[in-house]
Amino acid sequence: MKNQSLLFEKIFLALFILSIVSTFIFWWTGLSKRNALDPETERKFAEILNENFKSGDLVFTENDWDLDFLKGLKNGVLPIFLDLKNATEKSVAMMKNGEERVFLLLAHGDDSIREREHAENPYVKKLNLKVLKTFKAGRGEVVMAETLFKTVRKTLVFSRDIGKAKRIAFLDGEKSEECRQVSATKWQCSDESWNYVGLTTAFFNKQQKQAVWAHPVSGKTLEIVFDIPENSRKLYFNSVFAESVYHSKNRAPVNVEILADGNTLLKYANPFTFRVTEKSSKIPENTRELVIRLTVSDDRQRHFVFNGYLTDEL
Amino acid sequence: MNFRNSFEKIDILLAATVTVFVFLLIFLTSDAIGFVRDEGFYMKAAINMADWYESINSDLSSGEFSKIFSKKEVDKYFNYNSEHPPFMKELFGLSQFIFTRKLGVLSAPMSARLVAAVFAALTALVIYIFGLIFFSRMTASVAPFLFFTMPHIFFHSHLACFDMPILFFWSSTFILYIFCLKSNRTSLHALTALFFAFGMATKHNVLFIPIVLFVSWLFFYAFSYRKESGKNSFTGFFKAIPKIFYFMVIISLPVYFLIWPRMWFNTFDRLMTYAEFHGKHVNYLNYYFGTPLKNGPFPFSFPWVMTFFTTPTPQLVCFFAGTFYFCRDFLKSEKASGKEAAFAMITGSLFPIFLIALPSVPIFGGIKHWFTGYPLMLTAGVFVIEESAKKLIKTNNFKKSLIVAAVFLIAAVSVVPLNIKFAKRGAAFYNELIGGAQGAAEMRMQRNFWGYDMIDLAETLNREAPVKAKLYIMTGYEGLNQNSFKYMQEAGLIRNDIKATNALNEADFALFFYEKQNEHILNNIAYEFGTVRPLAVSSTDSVFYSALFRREK
Repeated sequence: MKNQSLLFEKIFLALFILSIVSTFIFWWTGLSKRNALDPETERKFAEILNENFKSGDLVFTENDWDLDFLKGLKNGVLPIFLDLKNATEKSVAMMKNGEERVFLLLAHGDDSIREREHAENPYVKKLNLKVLKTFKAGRGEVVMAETLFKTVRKTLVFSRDIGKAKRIAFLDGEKSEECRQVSATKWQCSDESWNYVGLTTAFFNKQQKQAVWAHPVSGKTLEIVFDIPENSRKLYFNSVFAESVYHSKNRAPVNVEILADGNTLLKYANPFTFRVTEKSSKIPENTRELVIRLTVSDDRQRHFVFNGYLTDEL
Repeated sequence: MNFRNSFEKIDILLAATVTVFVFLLIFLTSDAIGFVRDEGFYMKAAINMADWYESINSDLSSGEFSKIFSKKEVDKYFNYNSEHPPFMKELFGLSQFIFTRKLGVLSAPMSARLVAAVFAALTALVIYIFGLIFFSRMTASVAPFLFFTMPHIFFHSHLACFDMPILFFWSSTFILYIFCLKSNRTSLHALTALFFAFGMATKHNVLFIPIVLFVSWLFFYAFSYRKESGKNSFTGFFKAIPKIFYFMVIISLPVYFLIWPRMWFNTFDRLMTYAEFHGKHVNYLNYYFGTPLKNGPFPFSFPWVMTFFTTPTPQLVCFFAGTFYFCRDFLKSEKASGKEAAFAMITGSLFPIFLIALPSVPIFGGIKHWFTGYPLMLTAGVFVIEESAKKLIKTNNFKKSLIVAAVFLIAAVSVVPLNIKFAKRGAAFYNELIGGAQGAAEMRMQRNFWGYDMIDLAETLNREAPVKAKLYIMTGYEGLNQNSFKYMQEAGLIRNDIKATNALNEADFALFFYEKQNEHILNNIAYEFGTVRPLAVSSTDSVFYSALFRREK
């Protein structure tokens, strides 16, 4: 027992000495910041994006904690997504609303990859991208690409086109409280900061996506009206609660009803879970108006968001 | 757990040096750390308390003694933040009453942080005393410094919150219990119970102490004390119970109620509300290796692993060594009281972590919720290292001491850079075992907590913001609390004309506090402001924690 005890004491002493050594090595020699982007890479990331980015393009950064390169970006280069590691082929494709390109900012570009423009970079492979161009960026690399995942043509995208809504209002019996369009992507419905309908981003089954924030109010119906573009044949509608209310005790579901020219296409209660409710429905031919109605019995922390689109294919 | 040393003259000097040094270290760096969310609430409560002292002053002057403790008056001053007992808030208020309102030497927020510095100093003193009496003078001198060079501890020592004070009460109560086990002096038991009452009035954590200690005592009674003392009859059982437990009922409880005037009225209902608040506490979402812990059951590993990765490694080794020491003491002790004392130390060290580890217990946030027993195992661990080194070194005692002191000095020096790097954001510290800040960020651990980290951004904000600019502070998304913002202005950290807002669409500037779950706010700000280019970034080792943006459209 005594010998064992002595042995343990020696082990702890050895570990203590070792911990001092490891602390010195890690914190005194610069090891603790070894994976930071170097200034040249940061400068080049910003420069390449500033020169090549077009509105709507999607930027993903591999190193998602060292954002010093943002300091060099010009206005309008946005959004920047910090979740490349969790992104999937489908999730990236579904973020796109049209012909937008994808930029990957890779922290440690491999020379051999850069030499072969279409080489199989792991992210390029994972996301099934077609590389349009690669740029050397200091020790890193910027890949400009397009997605190969087949998507249908979207005639209306709720997040992209929320500014084109025909009307957004809260209905209270006979009364209608109109929301005021304050920007191309936002409708303010009262002086309360949360009480708006507009573009946001939120997690949809662990994937960050553009979405429409639409916080319902107890006793009222939030009504969002769109004109349906010609040839729109199918509706895809996804809804979820924003992660900011994970801790909420309020379990009240948000009731969703979607009508096409007054006929109900979808009707469901979105339960208070963090799984996305995904719905779709055919749109009758020659339908002209789409109405999304949201109600809730208890509006505390109902941070409700939705996205989706209309397509010209069935 | 035997008494090894007594307090000598030199110890007065050493203890005073340690205590004063820690007080000055903490208080003189008070404005280096932003105000966490909770402080906003407690500083507001401190104003109520200072108002209460003012009203007592005027009521006494006008002879209206009965008014002071009337339900109306008590509710007026004590109803705010009633989910926590009032002792610390009473002290924050008293400090404000004296140093802000009467003497005018401190801002109201800094008067509250003064109290925090006092408790940090008291903790250093307790560690010294504990180290000296149960271990050695060298352990007593070294342990406080190793304790306060843990970035999480250094950080929390500054805050006008309850976490460091409850750490002080938790560890001290366990230490005093050891004294009670070794001495039957009624005054010691009574004073311990009195001390414990102040702990109860600080935060509910200590309410577990009588339960775990009494259950432990019952165990030892059943298997040892009963036979040893012969007190095995019905009345013998009650005679055998240490007096401290009786005093916890007849002294602690009444004093607890005395300190908390709000409980004098509608007592049962209010106690139930208090218990219910903590019994059904909400869970705060934490990222843990990329998994958002939002609903139970939570992984049993969570607080253990977090402790493992958020403690500087020299101190972490001391934790293990200290736990080993207590376990060895438990096994080695021949007398039941010795075993019980060692078991109390194990409980005092590890029970807080074990409690949070239970899958049904919500995760309240950072390590502050289970660090209450750190001083015990750290101090014992320092002693194990000291003894082990001395046994290995073959020279005279003086030289042995010098060499061992040098080892501890080198250990203290080794943790200097990490303390400097995380001085403003100790809550974000991760050790080299996970790769430091960068490794933790790669592993998708919770990066920071409580929306306080804006000291590095304040200078740019104060310089760039036009008069009466509006600043989005991210309240509602684990950002800055409105009260905290207000008190940072009072403390002179943010310009007074800048207005805080929660409406991004009306803001001229925006603060972004990174947490994985709030990542999308970065793009919300970008869409609204037309840019994702920050004006200033708060970071350590290039890992960013918060940023300041200016509207560009």
